[in-house]
Amino acid sequence: MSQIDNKEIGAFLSPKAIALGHGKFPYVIVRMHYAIYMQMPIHFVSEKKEGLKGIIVKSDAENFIDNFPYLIEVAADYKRSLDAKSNRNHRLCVVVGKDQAYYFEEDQIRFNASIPFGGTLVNSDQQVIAMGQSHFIQ
Amino acid sequence: MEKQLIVRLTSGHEITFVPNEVRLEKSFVDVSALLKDNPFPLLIHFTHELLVSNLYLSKVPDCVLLHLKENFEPKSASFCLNRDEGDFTLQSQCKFVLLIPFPIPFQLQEIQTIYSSSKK
Repeated sequence: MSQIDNKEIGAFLSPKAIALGHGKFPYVIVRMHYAIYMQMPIHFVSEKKEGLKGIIVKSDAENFIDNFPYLIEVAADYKRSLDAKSNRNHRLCVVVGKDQAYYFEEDQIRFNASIPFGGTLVNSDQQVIAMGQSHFIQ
Repeated sequence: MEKQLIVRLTSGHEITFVPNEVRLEKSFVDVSALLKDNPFPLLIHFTHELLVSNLYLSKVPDCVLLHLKENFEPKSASFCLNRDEGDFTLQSQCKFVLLIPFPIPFQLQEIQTIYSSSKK
């Protein structure tokens, strides 16, 4: 993690985490525990790429933005597999932009202009990648 | 009681928007000015008797406009993507227009229906 101004508490996403795809929209945030969130970057790729962390989706779209209409399905599929894997319901949201998130609740998906912020952010290996700061690259 | 607009997709997913609703008796609206106090999602309800309404969209952040009939059934959609300087006005024949931020995470052709419900 990177250190920030001494007057602030927390740490921004490190260059290493960013290189693995963290901090870039779109991504899924899973609430692991009170104030502990896991970030799963969503990567749309045309061919297999080594070293990426997160949800990998095959796509031949020429424009990156053309992938966005599939985000609900991608997040829903991920939630289904996550819920099945640990046999419990997970609270998660897909974050589309700095003021756009779609929260998966019991039987519906709810839009909110407020996106998850702060807390302890971990990657899929449960390693801490940011604390007390925004989950995206400013 | 707050109004919710629920977008049901063909996949079975339902996406809920709790819009800021603005009722307008006039047929011309400066959407950019309206958004200052009523951020996305914004539901504009035209109450005038004219056939069309004019939405002035210059300087409006990227969004999708869903044109809805009186029962909220979707009739059409438009994209507002301001890339150049200049005036941008759109006409709508519908009494309700729902504006949601672009990009949207679902396909427009996936929309099966839109309905309203109230939440305490």
